[in-house]
Amino acid sequence: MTKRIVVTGVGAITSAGTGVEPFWQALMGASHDPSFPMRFDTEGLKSRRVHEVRDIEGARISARKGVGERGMQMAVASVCLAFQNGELESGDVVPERVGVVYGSTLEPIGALSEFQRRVSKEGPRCADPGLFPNTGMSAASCQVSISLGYRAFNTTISNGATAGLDAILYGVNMLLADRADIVAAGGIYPLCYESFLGYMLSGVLSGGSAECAKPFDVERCGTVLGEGGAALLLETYDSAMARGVKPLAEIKGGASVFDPSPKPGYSLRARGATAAMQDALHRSRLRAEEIDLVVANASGDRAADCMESRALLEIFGRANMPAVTAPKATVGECLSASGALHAVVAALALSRSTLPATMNFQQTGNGCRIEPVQNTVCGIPIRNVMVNSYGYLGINTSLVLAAV
Amino acid sequence: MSQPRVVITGIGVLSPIGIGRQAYWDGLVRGENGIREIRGMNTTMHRTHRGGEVADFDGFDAQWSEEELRLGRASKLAIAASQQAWNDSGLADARISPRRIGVACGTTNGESQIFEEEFTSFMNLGSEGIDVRRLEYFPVDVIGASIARRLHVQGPVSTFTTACAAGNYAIGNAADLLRAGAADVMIAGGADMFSQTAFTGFNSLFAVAPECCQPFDRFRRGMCVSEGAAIMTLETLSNAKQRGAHIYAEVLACGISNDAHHATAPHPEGRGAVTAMHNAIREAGIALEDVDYISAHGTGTPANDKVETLAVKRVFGDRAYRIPMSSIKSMLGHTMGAASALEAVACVMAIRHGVIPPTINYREPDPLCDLDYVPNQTRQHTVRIALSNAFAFGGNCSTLILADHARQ
Repeated sequence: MTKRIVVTGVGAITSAGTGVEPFWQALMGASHDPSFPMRFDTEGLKSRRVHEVRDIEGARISARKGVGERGMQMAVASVCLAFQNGELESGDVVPERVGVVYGSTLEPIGALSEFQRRVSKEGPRCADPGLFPNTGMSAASCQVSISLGYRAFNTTISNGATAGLDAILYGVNMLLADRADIVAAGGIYPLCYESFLGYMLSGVLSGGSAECAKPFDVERCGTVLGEGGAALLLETYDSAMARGVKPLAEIKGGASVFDPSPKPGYSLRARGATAAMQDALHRSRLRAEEIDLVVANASGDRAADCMESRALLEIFGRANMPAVTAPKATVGECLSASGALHAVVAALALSRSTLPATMNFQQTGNGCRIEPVQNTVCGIPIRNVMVNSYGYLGINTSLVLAAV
Repeated sequence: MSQPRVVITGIGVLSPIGIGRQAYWDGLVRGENGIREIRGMNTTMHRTHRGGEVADFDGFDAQWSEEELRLGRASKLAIAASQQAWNDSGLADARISPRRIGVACGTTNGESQIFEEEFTSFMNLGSEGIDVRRLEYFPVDVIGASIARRLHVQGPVSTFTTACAAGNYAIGNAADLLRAGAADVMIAGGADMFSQTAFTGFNSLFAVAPECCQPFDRFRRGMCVSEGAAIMTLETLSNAKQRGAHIYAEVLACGISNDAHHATAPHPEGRGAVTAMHNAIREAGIALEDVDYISAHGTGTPANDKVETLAVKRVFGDRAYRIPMSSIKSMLGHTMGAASALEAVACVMAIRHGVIPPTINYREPDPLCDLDYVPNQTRQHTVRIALSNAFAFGGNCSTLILADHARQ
């Protein structure tokens, strides 16, 4: 890259709470099991628990009162929280030079369902015109600009599970092209009954008595859905220095590779996942042995974790495997928000010199040969972190962050 | 430091006025009205009944694989257009590494029909009524992924959902990735199927014209919901020349901005549109006087056409009155995420043929819209540089600038 790009603020809304501190405390081991959702009823379903954002009020306050849908609240709140975290006031920035890019794919399902329900019951002439704009996939991201005034650009990328990381890569490219001075890059996924039901019916959720996500574990039997939003403030290193702020991390490089398997699904040959890490290392000008931590995509999904295990072994080899952590065990599978949440984890790990443990892990197996960090390690210098996101349809994205 | 130049080497189109680049262009030049009585949905209970559809697409043969037959209509439109562009480009003989080929596709409504039908089944029959396998093809990333799977692409793949400007965002991103050296070829454009949700929703806003689309006309009554797909193969000029590719035109720049104003209404002074145009012109390294044609966003709504006219005047000053500006939405209707991609193709063909497609259905001038909208008649006019606007809900504004790559 011709310019150095750094992360100067991070914001997150998760089931652990509002802001990065509750998120970090949950990653450090504060008790955080999935629970029955409060906003919809999962009685009688094979899977019943989720990592639900309980403190949406905190998000609403952070976002400004009166910001409509849940996804919009998460988007606006996560940007506001990132600004606070970066000690940046809205008066410190030129709105025309702040850009916004969000990964968001299934966010409008709640609004679409409500819109459709009313049309089905009362006829199309009774459709709710106030609700219709919220059925658009870009509505939540655009609300960030509408609420906060940021105008350089506003882009929505709907790449599913990799969208959060893809948004960060997009934001980096925008800074390199000098289209903004600061970019808020992130992802959102608000849970609703309809999208929960869809995932449950597809068979990817863990269920029964062992309803929790066990990344890389021999007994993993599916994932647990979570929800949330995350934003990272990105700017050039020179811009951060000029402002007198110490960045949390530097973005060294990243890559996205599409897996050529003839059908959708996590390819157990892991070519795409391996290639994404290879290209990310190459663009970061790093060797595999310079990576100290991997923030894994792993979620307890039988096939996805297997694919990632194989890719990690291809890249690092058993003897030189870096520490691996899998935050989805703590806050669940947050789809388009996950990549951004995991980049936040990477930035915090780097700035706090801490390797977060992975919850629920006991023993690897069943196609996996990865043993994630089981006990948090503090006070350990971390040079470089690899963050992975993989999508069921074949996109594999990896991002490398480094200590500054 | 000069950046690589980006050119277009293949084009694929499916539209309400023709399938295939030539049929589409012939339709535009004829001033064909693609807005008809809607056949794909029952509009009895709706306020309006006309829109744009890709005729007979259900029977269209793109040599679908067994897996592709299960996809939704939007994905199929995208695949069909992409295959046409790929065949047109000659890239199959070029032996470019699949890892160096990527996809950027824009859409607004995605697989709208899958959601509508499965949700209706769910409402009537509960979860037992849901076709779970079919649900897998609903999340919108299926569109970019389906193109990549069809063309055996292994590079970066993205689906942009910046509503009615998504095509421009995809094309702009594709050009950025090529210039940055992240890919050697990008398959880029937009696709949207006729969405019942969009038809119902825009009607609920009283934004749909009952008869036809009349951009800039004094009595314009709104947009016409439509569908289509346009995909182009983009490469660097040097790569295209090296493999002896036929070059259609050059992508100079894509300027983007956001109004930061309102979820549906444009900023009354068009500030996002003005900024997008200025950004595009600056990044393209051209002067205002160099623009020979503007392809308008021109939806036919009272608000858009008035504000777009104002924004063009703010950017070009008096020169605005001498730049022909037409809206092909008058012929196609609003194809949503495909619109700006279809408009980009129209600009490319205008550059190649020195012909500007008209704004049809133009009957009565509006004092607030007093530019040269190329009313009703196709016009012979040399176009070296064309500017194409696309504006979206949420305030997203984009301007794509295309040029004759061989211009002096």
